[in-house]
This record gives sequence, C-alpha cells and structure tokens, in this order.
Amino acid sequence: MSDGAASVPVHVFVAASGNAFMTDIADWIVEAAIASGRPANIVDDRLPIPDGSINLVVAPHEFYVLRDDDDAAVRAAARCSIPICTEQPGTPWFKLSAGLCEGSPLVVDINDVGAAALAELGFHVHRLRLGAVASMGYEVPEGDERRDIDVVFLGGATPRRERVLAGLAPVLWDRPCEIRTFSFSRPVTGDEPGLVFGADKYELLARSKVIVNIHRGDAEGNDSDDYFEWARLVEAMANGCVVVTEPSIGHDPLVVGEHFIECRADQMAATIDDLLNDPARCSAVSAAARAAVTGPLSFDTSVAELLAVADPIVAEVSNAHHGGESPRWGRVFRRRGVGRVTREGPPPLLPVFAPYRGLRKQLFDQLLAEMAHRRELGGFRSLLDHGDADHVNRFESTTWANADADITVVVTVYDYADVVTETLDSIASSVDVSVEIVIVDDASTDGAVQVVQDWMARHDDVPVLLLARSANRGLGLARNLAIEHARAEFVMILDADNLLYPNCLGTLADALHLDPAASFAYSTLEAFGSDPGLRSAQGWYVPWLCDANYIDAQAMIRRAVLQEFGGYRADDSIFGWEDWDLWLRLAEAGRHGVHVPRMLGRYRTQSGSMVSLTNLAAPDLRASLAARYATLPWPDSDRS
Amino acid sequence: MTDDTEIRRRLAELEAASDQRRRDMRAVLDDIPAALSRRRLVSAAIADLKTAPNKVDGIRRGVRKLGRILARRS
Repeated sequence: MSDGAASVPVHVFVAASGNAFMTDIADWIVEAAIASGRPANIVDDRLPIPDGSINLVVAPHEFYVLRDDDDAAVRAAARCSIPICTEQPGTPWFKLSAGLCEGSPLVVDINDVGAAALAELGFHVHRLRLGAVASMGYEVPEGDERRDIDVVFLGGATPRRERVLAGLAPVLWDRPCEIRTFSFSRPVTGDEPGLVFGADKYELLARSKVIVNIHRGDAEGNDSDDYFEWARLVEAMANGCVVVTEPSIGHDPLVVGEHFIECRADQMAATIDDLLNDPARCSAVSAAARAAVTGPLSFDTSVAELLAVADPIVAEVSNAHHGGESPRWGRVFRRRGVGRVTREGPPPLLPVFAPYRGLRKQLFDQLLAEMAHRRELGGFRSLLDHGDADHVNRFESTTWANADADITVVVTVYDYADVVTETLDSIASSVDVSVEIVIVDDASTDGAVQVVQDWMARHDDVPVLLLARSANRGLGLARNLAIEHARAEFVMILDADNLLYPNCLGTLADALHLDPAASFAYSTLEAFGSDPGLRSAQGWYVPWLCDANYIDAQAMIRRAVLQEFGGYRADDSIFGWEDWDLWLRLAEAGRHGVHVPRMLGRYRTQSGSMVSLTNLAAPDLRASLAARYATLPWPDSDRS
Repeated sequence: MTDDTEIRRRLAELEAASDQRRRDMRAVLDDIPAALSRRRLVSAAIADLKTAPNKVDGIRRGVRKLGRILARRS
C-alpha cells in the first residue's frame, strides 16, 4: 500500500434507522480500517459521492431503501461506492440487494455462498471474510466461572427454528439458557426487549458456554438453506462461546470439529448435552476458535485486504469522474447487469383470497349464539338441581385451609379428564416454592371433576381447592372465579392441558421479585403435540403485541394487578382471546410484563382447540380489539 | 301439572339438540375453506371450460366479468 492510498479516507455508509445488526457490522469495518492505518468513519446522513474516498455501503437493501432519494441519485451513489451485501441468496432481500448493486465497481459479500451468487450475476465480487475486532472481545476472567449461561440462541424467529429449539427443551429446561428471538414483522432498531447489540451482546456471549445456530428454513418451516451465519458466530467465537451449528456451507477456513461443532437438528440436544458434560472438549474448541478469529482470521486483516483491492478501483472511478477514461467496470456491468435499479421490495403478494370470510363470520356468530343458548340451558338445569343458576360445588384438600403459599396456580378445566392429571402432577413437582392450586371445572361432561377429586385424594399434602360449576360459563369467568379464591401474592395461570417444568414457578417468581414494576412474568413455552414449536418466545414489546398475540395466557401475574384490572373480560366478542385482551389492557395502562427467555413450560397443541375456533373470525376480532385499545400502535390493516 | 321429571326430560332434549346444532355448525365451518389458492381456482376454471359444451359463452362471460372488475378498480 502506498502512502497515498493509506491516506484515502474510508466512509462506511449505514442507514440511521436501519437494522441494528447492520450498524454492528459497519462499526466493525470502521474499527478494522482504523486498525489497519486508514482514517475511517460512519456516515448515515447522506449518499456516497465520488470524492476520492472509499465508500462502503452496509447494506444496499437497507441503506438505499430507507432513504428518500430519487433513482438517479441512487444510481450515481452506486457507481461511486462498494456495497457490502449480507443477505442469503434465494431470499427477496438478496434480490433487492443485488438490484441496488448495479453500476458498482466492486461488490462485496460476507459469505462465500452470497459472493458466488453475486459473481454468477456478473458482478466483480470480493468476499469479505468476517473476523474479530478488538472491541468484540469481552474480557472473560480465567476459568469458566463467569460462564453462568449454558446455552444461548440469538436469531429471528422462524417456524423451523422454533421447532428445532422446542426439541432442545428436554435438555435445556433445567440448564441456565437464553433463547432470544425476535420477530421479523418489523425492523429491529435495537430498542426491542431481549435483543442485545454491541457490548451488551459481547458480554452475553462471554457469559455463555454454547451458542446454537439453526437454519431459518423457508416460509413453510421446511429445510431450505445451510448458511453459516458468519456475523453472529464470529462474535461468539471471539468471546470463547462454542458454536454448535447444523451442517453449513461457506464456513471455510474454519474447520468442523476444531473451531465449531456440527450436528443435525435431530442430534442437537444430545450433542449439546455431551458437550456441556465435557468441559475439556468445550474449552479446547472455545480456545481454538477464539485464537483463529482473533489471530489469522482477524477482521483487521480481512478489511486491509478489501481496502487494498478497493484502492485502485476507487482511483479509477475518481479519474473517470474527473474527465478521465471510462473505467473498465462500467463496460462490464452494462453488458451483464442484473436489471434496472429498484428500491422496491419484491412485488407485494396479493391479499389472501378468502371469498367465504363473510359466511364464516356469520357462522361463527351463530355458533357463539348457540353456545350462549346452551349456557342458559345449563343455568336452568343448575337452577332445577340446586336452586341456583350459578351453583358451584366446593371441594378442598385437608391442607387447603391453613396453607400459606408463595404462589397460587389457577387451573381451568373443561373436558380435560384425559390430561388434567398430568398437569396437576407437573404443578406438584415444582421445586423451591410453596404452591396452592385452585381448580375451576367449568361443567365438564367427561368426568373431569371425579378425576381431579381422585388426584386430590392421592395428593393430600398439596393444598387444593376444587370449584366445580354446575353450568358452563366460559373461560374468562372460570379464571376470574379461581382468581377470587387465590390467596398468594402471585397467581400462575395454567390451562388444564398444559404443563410446567419443575423450576418454572420459582424462576418466574424470582423474575417478579427482580422487577417490582412488572405486572406479570412469563417464560418461553415448548409447544408439543400436533404443532411443535415455541410460544411466548419474545420479550414484552407493545408494537409486537399489536401485530399478534404472542404471549400465551400461561403467565404469573401479581394478584393485586388482577384485582385492580378486574381479571379477564368475559365477553364473547373476544372469544378465545381473553388473555390477549388482558395484555392489551395492561399495555394501554402503561404496565409491562417481564420475559424469562427459557423454556419453562409446555404448551399442548391440537387441532380443534378453542383458539383454532377463534381464528375463524380473526380479522373481525382483531378489528374490535384495535378499536377498543385505539391508542396502541396497531398495524394500519387493523384500523378501520 | 308438569312434574320435575318431565321438565328434566324436556331440558335434556333441548340440551341434546343444542349440542347437535353446535356440532353441525362446527362441521360446516370446518368444511368452508379459510382461503382459496388462486392458482387452483384458475386451474379449475380452465378445466371446467375445457369440458363445457358452450365454451364461447363461457369465455365471453369471463372477459366481461374481468372487464367489470378492472373498470371498478380504475
């Protein structure tokens, strides 16, 4: 490198309002460029101009899309800049990114697979191998005692990832772990709870023994890619966190078995278990990977190589701009360009074609009316049998009267005779807390009351109150009846077909003690049964709450909060979404929940459940919630 | 005067009828698709047209309908 080249400034362009992941990569490039002796800085308030500097754009599909410039200005910027692409081939973002690279003298990708795909499109491509920068390494004291987290996952939530993570629950439930996912529904700005960037992320990785890498899969949740997530995994390696990944391509020169562990998704639980039980192996892989990404594969070296390639190209561009000869790259791309410059994403999909929506809504309303009619009949029968339309039979265990529990677990039962015993067993297996159980049977027709009574007889040491309604009144009122009889400070809501891992109650109670302002605490749930995956997997974030009901009812709520807000709304207009309504009510009042990113509960999935029925009329129910809680940030599609 | 037994019998009949109506409605709801695939719809229309005795009329009606949709959108 000549002295002249060394003084050429490096401008790294990144969108001010873009994904925080891009800001991290841009920061690394600046740091590495400075380490290799170049003046470098971040630019987020203008387009690149041909001023003789090296203009690196991270990443075109974000930087240009989030700005409001005309196409001519974007084309001019592309001609004097080097885009750094980060997206996986085959995704719409990759296509968008490639379209915005047209005219660029050099195109850079952080992955071999992406670089090959861009070369195939006719670009002059340089692969920028990610490595560690000095600021990435969080100082870990000697030994493993600072690694108090066994397993960490960081990534966007996709059906495939959630399914694979759910398969890890049998290994992870009693291990300290952090399953941190985010929703793709909105750009990640860095403000979302549970997501960490920069120094916070490095500290999390330095505290973790193992990070798991699971491929995203396609929109239907099927296998689709085997992409090595360089950015995330290099950060982990720099912090001594061992990478366990599904088989990937594009990881050279990192070596399987030496720098990271590779296994199929169905072997991941056993692999992680073996690794965590073998600290020597863990340390060996950790040390080898850290030495590689901070030594020969450091980002300083990689960025210096890129700048060496960029120097003559930038000089040529600058010369051409000032009236010199037309640069050779211009000829290349006029011949083999990928199409017109566009800042539009892929064409929007046509709205779902649902010609029967009106008919389904009418039938749904009829069904609710029939349900109300059936409840009235139940009330008549109760009146006939007991002289009271709302008669409740009360049964209590001998330990109920004098119990002084930390937590009341509220269990609502309606025709769950076949599974309720398993649920009660899981509550009774709780450790480190004292528990009382209030069960409300909502006039089951399958003998569930007798099943619960039999269980109570076998577990007389557990304080249990069983309230058996003579007439069905619906889930909201059943939960509210149970809450009226709860005596502990914290109330855990549990449906009769779901389960708790033994440490669930204690961990959620700890979370509420740690955050006295939180109204409730919830953990990630392992969904099992017909549709395995995760539930309640993300932190409390009101915009996400308006996108979807991502927090299940299975949560621990302060009893005082339930009393203050009057419990659940018993209103058929929100049939099946009583829990969502409660979270929205809390959100509107400025309250919040605290998320524990561990799989501490199990959620049974089966077709034909009440929630499936609710989905029949989802658009109308969503609209009614949006109207009721109008001050919340609903997507435009929900506002009438 | 109707005794309790008779009331209970009538009530049981009403409950059974209500339960049956709910089951029937659920079955109808389950049978109505939530969404249709446009591709399948077009394929089915083309298949119908191929076997239709009055193909020309069918095409004419389709073109008219498309025209009305486009006119509404513009």
